[in-house]
Amino acid sequence: MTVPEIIEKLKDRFPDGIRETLVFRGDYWIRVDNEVHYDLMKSLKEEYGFNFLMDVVGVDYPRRKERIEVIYNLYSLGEHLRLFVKIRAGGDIVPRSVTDLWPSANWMEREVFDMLGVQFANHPDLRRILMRDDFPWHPLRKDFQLTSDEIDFGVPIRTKPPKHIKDEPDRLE
Amino acid sequence: MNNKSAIKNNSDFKVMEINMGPQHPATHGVLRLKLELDGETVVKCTPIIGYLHTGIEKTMENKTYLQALTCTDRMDYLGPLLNNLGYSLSVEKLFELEIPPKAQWARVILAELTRLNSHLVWVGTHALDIGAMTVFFYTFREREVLLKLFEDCSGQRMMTSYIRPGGLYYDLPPNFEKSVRNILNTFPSAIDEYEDLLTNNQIWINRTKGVGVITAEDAIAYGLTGPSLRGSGVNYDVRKANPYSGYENFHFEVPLGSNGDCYDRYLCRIAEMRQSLKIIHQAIDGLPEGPYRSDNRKFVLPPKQEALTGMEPLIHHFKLIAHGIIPPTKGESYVPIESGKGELGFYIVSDGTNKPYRVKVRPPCFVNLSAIHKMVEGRLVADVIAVIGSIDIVLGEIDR
Repeated sequence: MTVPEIIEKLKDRFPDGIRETLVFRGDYWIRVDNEVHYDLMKSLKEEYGFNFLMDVVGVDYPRRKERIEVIYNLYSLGEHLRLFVKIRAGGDIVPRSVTDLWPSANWMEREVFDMLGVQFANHPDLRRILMRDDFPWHPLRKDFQLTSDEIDFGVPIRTKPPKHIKDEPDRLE
Repeated sequence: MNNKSAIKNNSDFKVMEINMGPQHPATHGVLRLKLELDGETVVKCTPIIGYLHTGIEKTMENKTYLQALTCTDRMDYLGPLLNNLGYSLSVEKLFELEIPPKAQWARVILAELTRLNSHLVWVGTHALDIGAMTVFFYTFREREVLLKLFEDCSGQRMMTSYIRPGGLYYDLPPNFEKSVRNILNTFPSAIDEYEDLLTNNQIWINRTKGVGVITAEDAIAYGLTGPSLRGSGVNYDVRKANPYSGYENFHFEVPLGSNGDCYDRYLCRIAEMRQSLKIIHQAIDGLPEGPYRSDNRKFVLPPKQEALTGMEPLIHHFKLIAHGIIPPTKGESYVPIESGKGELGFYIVSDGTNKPYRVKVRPPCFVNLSAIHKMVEGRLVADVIAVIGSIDIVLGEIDR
């Protein structure tokens, strides 16, 4: 079974759950609703053979209400398929941890919590992992500055996006 | 930890908490393990990491795509070229850059040489931890040859930044083929030497066989990759499963273990070194002629001669140095590669500006270390040393 077929079947099963499907450079992403996230991940693992959770990525979009995007990188060893599952978190939204499905999620979700401040419900051991325990901030959030003062080299630090790229309000300039 | 809590009185037995590390020669860096011991048996093992955290991901967000490459060298400092390759492939996927065949094949040679380098340090330090000191001197003798070759290519022994988005930093040195052939001639007997010292050594077998066992199911559940996974008999090698950089053109085998113990992981890595030599042999025989980097002037620096003589190349040069390369679109890309330790990948989020919006590393050592309690709990303290050695961790990559 290919990834698009799996996505179609998931759409039948969770009709309102899948908000968005994205194909970019041959990889597949689905953005799912928080309500069905855990059930969908469970079915991906048990019915579609995604037995590897390779990574959990957190990305901060400070202008969104649900500011953190959490991306689960799933891999199926039998069929050699890869699927990225996105959810939105932050604010009041607390996604459910998938540690009981894939034990490897334990440290990965801890890292997302440590770096971006996402809480995961039902996580067995949600502590900081890389920063010290009494560190007050979440350093990979965009409002955590790299240095106290930006040095002006006379060249724009970050260029404006090219004109053909629509500047969405949720992206930082 | 204060002295009062060091010994907890329990009705059944006394559990003693001790810290192994962060300053301990056998933890390969600054890893701290909190061990709860019943006599000499490990009851619970809690790794505590982060002592080497330098915020590499945050730093990369604030650099241009080319500048961020230098950060990748500093993560897994035993396999810098593999890190360069992983990052470059991910950037190239985002930019849709085509790489000339010579650069691809040279990348394969350099990646496999780096794998040899990584495994040489591993076998040396692993044996040193367990008490076989000789191997360390032998492997570092061979490693010196590899580092000399990296220095000839890039000017740096370790922090090479030689593989770049678009190809290579510079053309291969004139003595490259000779040096590689020299390595191909000398290394098989060198690997035989390590095997003579260890494979049938009764002390080595006693210390590693049946120690640190992890079953195939557990290994998959905990996301182990690389030789740590293949030692348990699971056939997953990114080079075979999702070939990148032209690996589909080479014939090699994926060595597998069966018991999932330290000894099988050791055998896997040793066999892998021989397979790497096999790949290098095929690649150096068929190394194509041609340019060493892409000629797409929007993303790759023009040759110096052109930049100094032509107007348009000069403008490109100036733009690329001042602003860096700008991706054609928004998007996210991830390319997994097989590093010396397992699946390494860079998840890059681009917002269409000259700097990556987010770079997330998929660090194989971090994930492999998260399963250490499965391997050591119920075993003796001395086995912890053998297990740490056998999963081949580099703290620079774990903490980033």
